[in-house]
Amino acid sequence: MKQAFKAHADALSRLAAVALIFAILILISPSFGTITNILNVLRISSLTLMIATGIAMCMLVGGIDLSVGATIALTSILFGRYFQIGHSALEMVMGMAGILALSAAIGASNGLCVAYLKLPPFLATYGVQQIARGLAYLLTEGLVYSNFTEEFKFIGGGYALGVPTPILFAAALLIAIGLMLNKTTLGRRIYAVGSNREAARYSGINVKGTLLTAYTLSGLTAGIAGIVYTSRLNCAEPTIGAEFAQQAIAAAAIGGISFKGGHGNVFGVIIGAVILTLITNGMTLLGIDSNWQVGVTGVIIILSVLIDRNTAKKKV
Amino acid sequence: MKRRFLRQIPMTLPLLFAMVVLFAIFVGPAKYLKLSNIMNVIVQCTSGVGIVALASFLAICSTGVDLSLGGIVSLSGMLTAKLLTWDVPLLSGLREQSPALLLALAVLASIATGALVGSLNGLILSRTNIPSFIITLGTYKICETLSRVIADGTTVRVNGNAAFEFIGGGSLLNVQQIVKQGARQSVRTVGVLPVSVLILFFLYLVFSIVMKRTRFGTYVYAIGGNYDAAELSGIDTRRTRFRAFLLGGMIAAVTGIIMTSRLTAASASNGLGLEFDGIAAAVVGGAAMTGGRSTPWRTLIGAFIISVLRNGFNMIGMSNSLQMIAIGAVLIFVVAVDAARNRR
Repeated sequence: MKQAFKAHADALSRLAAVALIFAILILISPSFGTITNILNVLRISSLTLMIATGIAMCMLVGGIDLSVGATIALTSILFGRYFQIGHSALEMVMGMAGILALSAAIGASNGLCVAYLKLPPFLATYGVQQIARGLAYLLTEGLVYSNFTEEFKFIGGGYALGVPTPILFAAALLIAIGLMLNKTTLGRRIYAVGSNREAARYSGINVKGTLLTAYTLSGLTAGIAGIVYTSRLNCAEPTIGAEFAQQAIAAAAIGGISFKGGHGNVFGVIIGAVILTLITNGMTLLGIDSNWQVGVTGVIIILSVLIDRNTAKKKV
Repeated sequence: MKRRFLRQIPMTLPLLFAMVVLFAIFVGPAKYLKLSNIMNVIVQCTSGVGIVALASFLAICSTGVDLSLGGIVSLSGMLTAKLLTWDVPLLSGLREQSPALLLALAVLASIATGALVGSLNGLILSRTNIPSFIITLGTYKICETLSRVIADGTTVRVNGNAAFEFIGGGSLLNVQQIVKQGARQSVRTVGVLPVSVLILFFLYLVFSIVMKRTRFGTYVYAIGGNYDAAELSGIDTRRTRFRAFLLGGMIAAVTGIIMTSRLTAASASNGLGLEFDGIAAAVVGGAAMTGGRSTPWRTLIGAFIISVLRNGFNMIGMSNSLQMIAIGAVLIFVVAVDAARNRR
């Protein structure tokens, strides 16, 4: 029993942090505890959550992905062009498949730069980010797209069984990625490459292939998040997502995904995204100026990583 | 022997030369190589990426990365503007009685703010094992917030302060040029010794000496070369990294002051994106993200390359979106070439 508790102490302490913040917010404002508001918090966190799961995979292999925001902007613009009223159902399905393939391809180009050209992940994904955002601006042609079909608007703005659809998408994605990380060989390989790249290579793991897969999956999750977000926003602009990568990295960091790779899990990402949203939501509730909210996010990023003993521990 | 000599020349110098020639051909030599345009590139480089690149170089060379630089530029620029124009009894009294003292105070306060943020970065970095990337991301956000709070939703304008404008817009030596615009002729003054550029060269000169001749510089290279070896040989790695980030913060604050002076106004996000431009400049100049390589002068060449690219693209009439794509591609290309060279 004691051992089981020790093994899950990390997860439990995170859960306790969420409960604590939640309790404080309810004390401050009782309306915070209503089902509507809880669903609202979950709906807002679901976007960060989707992006963060992708970034978490890059972090697990010891990298980072700064390109997700631009990927979302690019997919969003392409949707803007394909999902206007007047396109047939077939066109829309093909468009969606093509756009998801493109977002995976952006992820793959990150992976190629990191795994095969040996570029530092930070710079490679920044370069790709620039290119993707440039393309998004180029394809916009100065327009803002907002005339979407009802079916498309349902993807991110509808309700199924009383639950907002973005939550369902995020849940499905998390379960899929969680299973992949815990139950498949790919998941084992991702952790192995992240904890010790040399050891992974000597034990016969295809390190380059694993890196490529992790980055490709990050691109793909960004693409899915892009669909849901565009649909929810009912609008496509090239400026979308400038802050997304930072938000998602913050969520992953708060959730205990190590920057050195090999440590952390999907559960942590959920907690991280929820904590981040709770605090932002709470500040809005308290009527704190949105200018200050950015700074508080910055402080929280540093504090949470400081508190986390896995990342803050000094090398012995 | 021959190879050693070749290695002394940064590979980026020929690149810079090739780019200038290329743009001169595209734009037309008479227009591109005109004195006013050359000075324009240099001044733009100075008030933009030029000085920040030095701070990026210091962080990268000591195996870190500093994303807070853009925030420091915004904050220090905003603070300077606010202190010079704020209507509180103490400051407005000082403004009337001794404007020079107020200016000195504003400049010092901005640099001190940069030092404060830099030392916060350095302190967390040296006491914990958190990657500099995430620390400076956090401090960037804090700087941006403070800058926005000071700005209070407006652009702070600094009007009619000649001494302050001299920092970013003045020149010690001017050349009269006749400009033809159709049938009309007018005389334009081109500053060939801008004060801001002198500040830039002074900083680079100081830091090239610091990196080469002082213990701090040697330590930074040692840490970048092999962190564990440096620590085992008794170098105080914590203090060295702390100092590198502290100095970086102060350098970035200088950019903030120059930028505000040149624009005679400060907006809350003036420095947005400069941190990445600075990293790009340092890397184009030959720095490796693993640290320990490149020199201040090479970094300056890297910064010029970024500025020449932007200026050239603008003169060709390339759209902003295409410029983003091109600069992203150049960055990946240069880093890839560098990575390939290192493997050999």
